[in-house]
Amino acid sequence: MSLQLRILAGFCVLLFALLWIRLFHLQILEREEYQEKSEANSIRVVEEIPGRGLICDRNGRVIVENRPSYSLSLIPFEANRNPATTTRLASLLTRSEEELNKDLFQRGKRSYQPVKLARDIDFATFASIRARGLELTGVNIQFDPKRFYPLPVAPHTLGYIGEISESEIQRFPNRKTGDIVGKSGVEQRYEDLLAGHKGYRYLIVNALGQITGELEDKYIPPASSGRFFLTLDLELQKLAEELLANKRGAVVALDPNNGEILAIASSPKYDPELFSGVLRSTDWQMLQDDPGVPLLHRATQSGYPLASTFKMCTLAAALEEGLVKESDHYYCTGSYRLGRIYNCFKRDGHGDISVTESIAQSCDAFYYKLGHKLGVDLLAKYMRIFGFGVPTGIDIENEISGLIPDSKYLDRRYGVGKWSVGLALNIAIGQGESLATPLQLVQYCGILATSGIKCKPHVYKYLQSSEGIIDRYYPETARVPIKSETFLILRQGMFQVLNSEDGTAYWQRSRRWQMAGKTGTAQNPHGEDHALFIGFAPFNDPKIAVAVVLENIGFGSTHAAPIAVKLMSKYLEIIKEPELLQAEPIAELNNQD
Amino acid sequence: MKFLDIKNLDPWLIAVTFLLIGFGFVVLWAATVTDSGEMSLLLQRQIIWSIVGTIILILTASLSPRVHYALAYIFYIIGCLLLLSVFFLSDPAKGAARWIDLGFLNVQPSEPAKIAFILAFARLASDKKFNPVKLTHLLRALALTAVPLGLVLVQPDLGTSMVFAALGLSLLIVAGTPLAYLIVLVSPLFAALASLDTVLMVAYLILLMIVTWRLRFRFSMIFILVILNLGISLGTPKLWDQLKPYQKSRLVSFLQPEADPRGSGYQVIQSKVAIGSGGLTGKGLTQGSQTQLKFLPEQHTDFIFSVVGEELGFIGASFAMLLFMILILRGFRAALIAKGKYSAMVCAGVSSMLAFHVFINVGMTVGLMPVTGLPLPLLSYGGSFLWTVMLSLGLVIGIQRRWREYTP
Repeated sequence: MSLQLRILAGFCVLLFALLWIRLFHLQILEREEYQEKSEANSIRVVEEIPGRGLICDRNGRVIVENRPSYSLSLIPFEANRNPATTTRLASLLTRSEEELNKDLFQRGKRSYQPVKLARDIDFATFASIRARGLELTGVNIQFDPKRFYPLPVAPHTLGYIGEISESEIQRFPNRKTGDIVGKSGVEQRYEDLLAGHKGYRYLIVNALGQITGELEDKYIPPASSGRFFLTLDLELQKLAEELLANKRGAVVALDPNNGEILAIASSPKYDPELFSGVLRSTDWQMLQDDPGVPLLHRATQSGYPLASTFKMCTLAAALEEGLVKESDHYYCTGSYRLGRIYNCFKRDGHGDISVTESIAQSCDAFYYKLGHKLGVDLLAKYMRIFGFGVPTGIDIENEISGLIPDSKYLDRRYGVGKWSVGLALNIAIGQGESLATPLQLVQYCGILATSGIKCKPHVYKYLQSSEGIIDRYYPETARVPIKSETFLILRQGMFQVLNSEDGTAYWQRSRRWQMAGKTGTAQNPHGEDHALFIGFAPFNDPKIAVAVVLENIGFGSTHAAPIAVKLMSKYLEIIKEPELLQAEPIAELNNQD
Repeated sequence: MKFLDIKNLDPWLIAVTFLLIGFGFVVLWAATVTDSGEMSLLLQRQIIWSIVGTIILILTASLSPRVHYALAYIFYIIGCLLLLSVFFLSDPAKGAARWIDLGFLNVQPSEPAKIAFILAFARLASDKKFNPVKLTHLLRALALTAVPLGLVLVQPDLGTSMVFAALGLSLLIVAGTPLAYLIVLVSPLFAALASLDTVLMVAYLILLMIVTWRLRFRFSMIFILVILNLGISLGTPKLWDQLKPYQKSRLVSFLQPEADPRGSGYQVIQSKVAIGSGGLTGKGLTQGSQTQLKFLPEQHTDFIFSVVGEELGFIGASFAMLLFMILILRGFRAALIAKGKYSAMVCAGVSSMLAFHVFINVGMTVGLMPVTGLPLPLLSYGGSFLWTVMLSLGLVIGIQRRWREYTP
């Protein structure tokens, strides 16, 4: 048998020798011929960038579109072989040749990957490059998505796009330097859904780097993503932004049954068009230096004291912990004494009030008492139940978590045992150290509206391509561990705020719809008070919950409540009479360009 | 179980195996590197698969040959059933039925079937009563080969059926089949190839007559053989019409790649250009224009050797070939020193299998063999084939380290 094995092994060696001779033939003897072929008849892959997804409101009205823009790139390998190309390009682009070469040869002189040299070139440059197509070897003109905003709404939420950074390249394996990606807001969060898929063209290039043909059967066309539906209602969003104009603050409205954000506005805002192409550094500096901080998304990135809107949380805690009953009454003398005197905002006192009236009339003294009984940690427990202190998980990047001042936090801040029990009194009326975003406020309001359903707020609804709906957001809801009897009392109090003659926002009520809400006025040592309002409607079957926060403006009842009432009325009209939507067809948008 | 005993191990066999896997990582890295110089997802996966493969190798190497000797026929039956199952389980929309989708992994059952076939053949031929000179015994061995070969051929997978045929022939040689029988077996293949040209056909038939006469075949035998070969030569063109269009185009583009530069010949031309332009020292890792422009189809799987040729040149390609050669010869050495016939045949079978894979794959990239979609052992990207190769190497190592013992 060993003879046969040796024969077989010998045969294998023979086969290998055959391969080796062939390799020698190709790589040593015919090397020049193949090297020529490899350089002369090489195939260049050119990317085709798909248009980004069109962002629409919940009814399909387009908010963000694309418009064509062209960028110019050059292949370093070709430029190195034919320096005249760079010279000509430098004069066309009015840049110095050294500068151009520096950009071009970042990744070596033999690189075949096109390097982007100019973006959004004007038509004259485009035409003269096209005309000299064969002289300028290795030059590619590429379509780039550029955003166009027919309606400049919700810039903070939509976000902007920009050139990919080094750290982003690592997150997106199919992207490379020069590509455009979402940088903030929805554009960033849903980059994968909005970007679509790149297409590829295989061009045959001759020894001079000129394009002589194309492998058409290998062409992969780019695939755009489709229509990206938001939960926003454009009408409501526009109204919210109008109502916020010339003020500082934020408005959020959501559907409390599923967490769909109907409107989310932050003021002051910026013009999204500034970011649609290449952002000029002067514009960037201006936005950075603006004292109004227009780039800040106040609805998700700013923490405010909750003021009296927090009282439902305090009352819920007291009811759940058995510290107070529905039938209880309290006599407000205008202050509460614990070590020192804590004043009610109504200095001459509310007199005898019931539990529901304490919300309707926003009696501070009663809540000082509850705060005293509860202490900071029980208050913190119920704040957590209502979703404060942690990000809501909305699909907009960089949301902050707000602040819950529990004893651990206070120990850290002031030292163990160095803070007074009295802090709980201020926390109980929303004036302590606790901070919440307007988004957390509206989520809290939604829980009250639905008697305990907590929804994760979101702005993305679904993605529709030519094949139909290909991706959607699945709402996440949970029930909070609070008894329905408790909610009955809280909701009754909120109803009276707008509908009882003693209610703090009685004069702002709607005559058409049954609404409920709560005012809040946050004392601000640095100037005018912040005005707050949360509300929901209709009372018996809530379809919308709203939170309004206005900085340095005055009372919540006079400034924030009217905005909330207008928004709720508008939305209830829209859903009651859906034909109002059809009244403004999409065609009108197209007329603008 | 000798699990951690390493004193009898062949250091060459192990070192070369892992050198090739490491070499594969480097080439795969260069072929799939992203623009920012990041490691690609493919490479990360291949590394994970190699780790799993190493575990498989260690486990099989610790297995006594007695175990797989006892189970050889069962493996064979399972292997054939798996080959049969692709006809029911795979998606006919994708053309050839070769894969079973397990959800997390696509498995090509022809890979483990090759090993099962080697084991079953080795068991059959190592039987003391087996006499290769006896026609009935020989037919039994042929039937054993014909079943998996036939199943693979109708999938249709030309490349793998070529491996089965070559493997069957090698094992027949090792089993001691007389040269005369082998000629009778192989002659139809040559007859089919000779049918391309009338002069060639006549010359071949005359050659066949001379050889068989010199080997003292009986006159009647020579007559039957020549008539048979003539029939095959004449029948081949008819059979040609039965082939699938893609098989035809592959064969045509193999014989004449320049005829259709954008179709099937495209791959071969570009691969030859890539390898040829690599020259002596290559263009350097990640610097190959053919590779980096990504027009070479399947450059990380079937055409990985083109990347070696282009970026590492003749030196790199020769280095890879040398490693393969050492691997295969160490396998044959294990067969030579093994005490049992079964063990020897398993080692020889695995070595032959690897040799044919390398020959067919590298032959394809340099234009010596048709494009068949056979991967290159240990270098091509892909989990199921890597595991098959490491499992079969585990078998060889398991036999080799017990060379002092009496194994079946």
